[in-house]
Amino acid sequence: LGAGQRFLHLAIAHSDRPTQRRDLIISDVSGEFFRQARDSREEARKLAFVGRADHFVLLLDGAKLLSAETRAASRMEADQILRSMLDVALLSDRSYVDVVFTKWDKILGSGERPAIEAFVADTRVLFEERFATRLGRLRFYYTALRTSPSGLLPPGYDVDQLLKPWLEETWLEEAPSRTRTVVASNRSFDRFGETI
Amino acid sequence: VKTALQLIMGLPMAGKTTFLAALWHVVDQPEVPTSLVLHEMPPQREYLNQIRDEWIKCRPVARTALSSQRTVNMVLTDRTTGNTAELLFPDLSGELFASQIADRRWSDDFDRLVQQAAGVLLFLNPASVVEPQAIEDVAALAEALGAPTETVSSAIEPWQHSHVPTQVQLVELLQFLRWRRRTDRMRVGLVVSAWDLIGAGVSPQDWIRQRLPLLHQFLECNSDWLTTATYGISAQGGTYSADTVQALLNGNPRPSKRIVVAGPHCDPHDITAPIKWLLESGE
Repeated sequence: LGAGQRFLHLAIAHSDRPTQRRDLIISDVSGEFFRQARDSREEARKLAFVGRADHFVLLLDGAKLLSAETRAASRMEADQILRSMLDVALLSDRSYVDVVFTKWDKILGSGERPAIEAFVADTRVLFEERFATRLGRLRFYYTALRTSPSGLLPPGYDVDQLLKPWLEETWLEEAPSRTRTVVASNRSFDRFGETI
Repeated sequence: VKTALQLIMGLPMAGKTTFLAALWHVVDQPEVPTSLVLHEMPPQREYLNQIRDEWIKCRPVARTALSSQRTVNMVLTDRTTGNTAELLFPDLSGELFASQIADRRWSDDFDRLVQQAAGVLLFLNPASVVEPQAIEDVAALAEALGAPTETVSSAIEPWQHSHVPTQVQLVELLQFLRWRRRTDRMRVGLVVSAWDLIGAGVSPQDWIRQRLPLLHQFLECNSDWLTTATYGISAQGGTYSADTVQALLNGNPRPSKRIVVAGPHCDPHDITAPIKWLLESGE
């Protein structure tokens, strides 16, 4: 793997079914790769592992939504990442995409909460208009991972809702007759799980 | 898909690059109704994203230097007709046009652009218009103020080409085009940028007639080879003062709504209108 690209392996199970383990491989990739993918079709194609993903999770940084200066840019960047992945067919009408608004506790504690919530609602409208028919599934989540000083949300808020579908649902299992995207890479890692 | 090169001309600080940044955002992000929509993402969009990243934050877009000129392309579809065209926009430095006026010559590269151009957008910024000043007007003003009317040689600023009134420079640029494209009709969209400074109550065409009468008369008298339409466009929607920027950012969750467009047959935020008008020449 290149610099800035790591994959984390977690084996997890339901607490009431501890022997039924599921393996999760989660990408830990520098945001710089996605910034470059925004700018160039050639760079987007290099993110071949996206074509193998059972779930594509797009994070919108709640801290950037707090500022009026960076709010619209944050949405635009997320939109461009999704479209650049669709443009090179690493995402398709079979893909499961989760859009996650992070640090939601900060937004709830912000003096600009009404404006930000209206903006997020508008973002959902725009994304649904633009992507709902081009993806297999598009869902939205609001997470707060750390204990916040405001105490408005418990740490780990909404993460279980996000995690559960990752374990139980994959577009491949729901549409077994369909083949996956052919990955344009010779690396064994990128071709993991490819239909032969 | 046909290809059409649209030449974007204007003196330094005329708003050409800010226009391109806003145009890219509007066609890339479907936030407001527009005449033209993006057909597909350009394979290389780094520069467009770079200038748009500044524009979207209400920051001044970096001016194009002579050393960093480039051509950007967008494949756009006319929402009404369904026609699709690849548009090439050379992002040229205003200094290039200032030097053409000063030196009365242009490069072979620019000559090729002129020959290939399907249309022209000519920008002018009302905040940097150099007004003509008649000697008798200055003398009369000095007399009214009680100032000495005799010439004080030490106070005379050496003449520079930048002192030439804006309307004279723009007419000269159009005459250069005429000289090179003498057998063709040309379609020139005139864009008064920073239109927020002018405000409502006057149309862009009337503003040109009142403030730049020589340019207005030139356009009228050369209608045998020159087809024109005049637009007022504020690509940012206001000035870069801190209060205005905050108001623009807070008041427009969809940045495309910051844009102000005035002109024939266009919606109030449709910055693609002049491009659509230029494309009509090829239909």
